[in-house]
Amino acid sequence: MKINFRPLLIASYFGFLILIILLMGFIWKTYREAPDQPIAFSHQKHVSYVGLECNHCHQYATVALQPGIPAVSVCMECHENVATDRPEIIKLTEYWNNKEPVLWADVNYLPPHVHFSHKRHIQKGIDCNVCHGEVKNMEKIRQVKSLRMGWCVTCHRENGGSDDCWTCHK
Amino acid sequence: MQFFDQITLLSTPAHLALVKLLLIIMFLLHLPYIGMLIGSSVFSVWFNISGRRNKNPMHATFARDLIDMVAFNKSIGIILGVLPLLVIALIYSQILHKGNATSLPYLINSFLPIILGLILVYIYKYTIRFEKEIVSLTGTLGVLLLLAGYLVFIASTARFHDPEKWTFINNPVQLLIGTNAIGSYLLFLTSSFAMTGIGVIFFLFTWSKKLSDTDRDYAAFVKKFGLTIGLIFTLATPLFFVFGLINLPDIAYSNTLIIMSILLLILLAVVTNLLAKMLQGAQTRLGTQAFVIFIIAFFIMILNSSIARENSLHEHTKYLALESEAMLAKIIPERAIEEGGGIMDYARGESVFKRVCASCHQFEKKIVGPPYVAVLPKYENDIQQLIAFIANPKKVNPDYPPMPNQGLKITDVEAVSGYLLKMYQEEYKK
Repeated sequence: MKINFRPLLIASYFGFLILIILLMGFIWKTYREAPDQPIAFSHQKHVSYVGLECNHCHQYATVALQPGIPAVSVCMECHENVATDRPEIIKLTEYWNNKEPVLWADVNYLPPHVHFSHKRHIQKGIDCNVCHGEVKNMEKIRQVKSLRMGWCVTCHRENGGSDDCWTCHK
Repeated sequence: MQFFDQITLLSTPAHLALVKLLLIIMFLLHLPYIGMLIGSSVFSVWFNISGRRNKNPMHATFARDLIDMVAFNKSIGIILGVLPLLVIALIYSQILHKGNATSLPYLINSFLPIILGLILVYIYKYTIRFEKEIVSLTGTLGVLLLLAGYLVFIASTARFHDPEKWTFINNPVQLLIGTNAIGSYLLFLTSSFAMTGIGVIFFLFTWSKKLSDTDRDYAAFVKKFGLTIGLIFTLATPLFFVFGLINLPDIAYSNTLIIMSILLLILLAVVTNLLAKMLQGAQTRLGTQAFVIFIIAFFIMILNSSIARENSLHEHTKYLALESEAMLAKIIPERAIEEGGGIMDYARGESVFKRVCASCHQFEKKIVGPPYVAVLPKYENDIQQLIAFIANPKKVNPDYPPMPNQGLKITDVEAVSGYLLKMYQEEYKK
């Protein structure tokens, strides 16, 4: 019996490429998609619509290494009264009533061996969106820049920042 | 660019959805036609030069058949080639309004070489029978202009898929060197050549049966060319497609995009199998199936690109919608203030106060916003200013968060303003 290899070859070629697409989809879904947060907080709504400044919630960004994630009490300053019937605000109120913090998922993660100061960068006039992207337009917060060493060093060199190892690795 | 900015309409969500649908329709009309035109004119010019230099009549005839296959009518060239370009530019300037999409001017600049190229290709088509050197030169120049114009056109549209990089595109080199831009252009070229090869089989054999009864040597030559070119470029198309997919930014991805991509590859696999089968048996009877399936695959490629664009521009669309809401809230009260209104409708004012304002404001107590007794005195003699503020609030006191626009009807704003001032004067003023 004569075997026709043509469909087999075609199926293998296209099958291989379909596998690559599936792999891309898997990587995107697992590692690259913006993480789900315990509360669907929209930066777009609060920055573009309401008009809050970044440091209204991230109060330490201009004075400390870490910008600070707002405590539930900061949210409740407004949401004790505003939009209290919305499902996400009901969830927030439950955290408040139970005296529990909201465990937000990490988005812009830097490993512990990196010493990064928000205060220093803001003092130098680096705008938040240089590292965090157009947060004011984001419904679901996501990482925009790689935040890897090469990216940091390139920016430091372009803007006259130090490229000494000790600057970031104390 | 300023011209396009000036003619943009108010971007309400319904309006944006409509123009985006229109954009997809324009691409579905324009790209298959232009792909076939570029493919057939590239090969036609090639065979025209080769036919004249080598005195090969078969090549010369094929050059004519190829260009007649697509550029058969001037009106079609204008309807499918030129008009969609202008509509596409208008729609892009609308959906990218205020987005600082730096590649938009390049998209518009690409129209000049494209339109010139189209004119030259049509001149080439109408003069090809003279078999002169100048005809080949006209065709070559037309093809080069089309290739260059579409390099910029495709690169610019591909760049819209990555809003985070818009600020880094400040010159044509930065526009073109991105892997996303180059990948999209190569995908466009390979799929266009594949469509042309399969189109040769469909248009010249199975549809019009133009070559079925002619010189057998010529028919065999055309058949072999169409099937070989179709097969090679159908095999190359998914490579560039996957390359383009890998280079898309994360925000362009969605489940639909992945599913459509897989569907596209399955369709291309079927086309490849049909072409290989026809090539093996040196026959063309499956030409219609191959062509129809390839056109569906081409449409899916366009839809896929539209899905990626929609995902990437999702946030910008939201921003435009919010802005249009704020604009509308501003326009309507301004008009109503001029007309005067129901500030004496206290019952309605009280209802609006309880429903909307009371969650953040009370008269004597700070809740989220300031107590009314602290802010109403300055509006006592100027109710129009209070109406204007409630209709379009701005941040006043740094100690409080800014008041969001409540999107109230102007009659509600007037009623609540009248109610607040009345209550203040009658009950809380000391």
